[in-house]
Amino acid sequence: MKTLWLLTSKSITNRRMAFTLSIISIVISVVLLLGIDRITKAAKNHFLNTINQTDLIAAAPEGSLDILLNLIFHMGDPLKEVDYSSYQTISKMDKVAWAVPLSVGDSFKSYDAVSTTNDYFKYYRYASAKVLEFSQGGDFKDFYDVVVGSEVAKKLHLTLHEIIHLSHSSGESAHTHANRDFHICGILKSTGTPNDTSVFFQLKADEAIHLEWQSGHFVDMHISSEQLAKMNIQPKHISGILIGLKNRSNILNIADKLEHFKGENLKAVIPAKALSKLYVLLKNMQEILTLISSIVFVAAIFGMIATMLATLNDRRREIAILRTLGATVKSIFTLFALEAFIIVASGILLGNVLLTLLLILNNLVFYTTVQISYFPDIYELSLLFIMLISAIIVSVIPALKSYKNSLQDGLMVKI
Amino acid sequence: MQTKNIIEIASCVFKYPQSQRIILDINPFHVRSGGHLFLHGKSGSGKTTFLNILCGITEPLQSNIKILETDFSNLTPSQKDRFRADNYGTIFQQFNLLPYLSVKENIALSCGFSKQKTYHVSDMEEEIERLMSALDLASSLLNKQAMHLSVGEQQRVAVARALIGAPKIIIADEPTSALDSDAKESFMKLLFAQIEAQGSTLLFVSHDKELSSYFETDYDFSKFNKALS
Ligand SMILES: Nc1ncnc2c1ncn2[C@@H]1O[C@H](COP(=O)(O)OP(=O)(O)O)[C@@H](O)[C@H]1O
Ligand SMILES: [Mg+2]
Repeated sequence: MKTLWLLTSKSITNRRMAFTLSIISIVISVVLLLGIDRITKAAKNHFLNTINQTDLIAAAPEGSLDILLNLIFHMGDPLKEVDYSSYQTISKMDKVAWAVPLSVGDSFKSYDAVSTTNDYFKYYRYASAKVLEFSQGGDFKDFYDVVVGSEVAKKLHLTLHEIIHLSHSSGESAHTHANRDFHICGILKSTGTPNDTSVFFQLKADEAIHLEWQSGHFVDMHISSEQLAKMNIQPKHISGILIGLKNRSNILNIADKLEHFKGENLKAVIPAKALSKLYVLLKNMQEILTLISSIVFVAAIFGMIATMLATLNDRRREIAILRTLGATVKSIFTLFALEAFIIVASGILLGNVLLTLLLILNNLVFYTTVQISYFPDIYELSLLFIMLISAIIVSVIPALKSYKNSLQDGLMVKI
Repeated sequence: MQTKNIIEIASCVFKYPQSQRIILDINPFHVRSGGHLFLHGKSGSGKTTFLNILCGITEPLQSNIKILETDFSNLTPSQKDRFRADNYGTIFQQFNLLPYLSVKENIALSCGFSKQKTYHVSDMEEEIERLMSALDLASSLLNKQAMHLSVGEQQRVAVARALIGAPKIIIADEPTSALDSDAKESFMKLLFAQIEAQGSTLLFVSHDKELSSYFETDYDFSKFNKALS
């Protein structure tokens, strides 16, 4: 066996060009296969872990996924608004334990600005019933207080009590309310949810600063911030309401009640159900991508075998010499299996290292709340193991061909 | 017991599967221990094919061959591989060495496939150096890649590889054909000295009749092989 290792390693170094190319194609397929698995798994986890223990979400009628994505993930087209009075009515309903109003769509720099009440920090749960925690400061005390997510604070180097200016709307149409100073009252701990990339301010402050916005234009009303705060302006519209029930068995009942709400058309979304829809979508996508990357892998293995077959003629003499020295059929097959093993094993190793580096790099350059694992899990390890075994099995093809050649050639290769 | 038969052939018939023509039909003969055999015959007379059969790489159509008191004809292919590894040293006309291995690795390779040969070598490094100097090879060549050697040097390294582990039978298939006459003479002298020293039996095949002067017995392969007449 020691002899065969020596022969394989030296023989490979002698053919390093073809060998390197074979490894590269394995590396690419490993990065693709594991990368896709890693990313889709992380996305699934991220979506499933973002909201927990909210029994219902009420919003203007839209698809349940649209509502979920908009209110919780701050993605997609804006929703129609809901009357603030609906929130007030719902929060007073018998079977409702708590209700949190949310208004989304504004921004701070490239981050989302969400207006709500202190109840948000009290009732919002993520992952397995985790509470939002502050790394510094606490929830809203003053009218112009703002709570910032961990990533916002980190990326923009924000500190407690610092003054920031929010913007009306987001993206290219954003306009900064430069005349209204907001003070940072709290910084949230990292959660791996969209909360990390959001800032929160009070619903009433939201309504107040938007007084100066009429039909899409800024109208300076020459009111000081103190005066504005004292005007006791009541919110009129919100984007949606998060609802927790006293008894979960009432979900369908309450959902039905909300959909036949007097005064306003509402849609009641059960987050768990909407998430499972999302899960199915992601799973289908994952399956298709995995299929594609498996095909890439199979192609890489056949590429390797094709290369082995192509170099077989150059190796006739080599094999003939080994046969005269007493190399058995088994040794010849082992020689090819070792070569396949070395190629695929180093491809797997390098592929993993490369993928981890890419993920680390990605994390350094772009922040995403999606947390991608740097290391393979059991499923991926078993996938890699299957790759290795199948490569070794397929190496029988060139080995068989080579053995047949050696019988033909005997002691002397006539080329 | 010094006249023990090394090789005893009662019969040996061979044809290539694709062709109709019988290439070998060997007359009965035997080789005694130390009774080096020289077979000469013109190119295409079937010498290499015959050696392939004696090595167990090529299967004959029909045969009754005893080698080293073993019923060689009835060994399975893998038993023959093993037998070859343990009992034979082989030198061909050319391209004996693995080009990407060093001289040292090429010589040691022989023992890599045979426990028996390894057993006969107490100190590998020492034995390789001894053989190298006995065969007039500079020790500076030891770690050189085989592909960078001259043909004469390659043939002598091939002899060292055939000799290491003291196999009982050395098979040489036209080992001098690629050498000029000076190199040929020194090659034959060195080869014989070492074979005598370790008591192996040489089976030497060539189209070159001149070489018969080195041997006590020489056979004309065309008389030896009924298929040619
Ligand atoms: N692989 C082969 N298939 C068919 N015929 C072969 C093959 N190898 C050799 N021969 C034929 O067998 C005969 C003997 O060849 P060989 O043993 O190489 O002769 P020598 O070594 O005496 O020159 C030749 O006629 C040659 O053409
Ligand atoms: Mg020949």
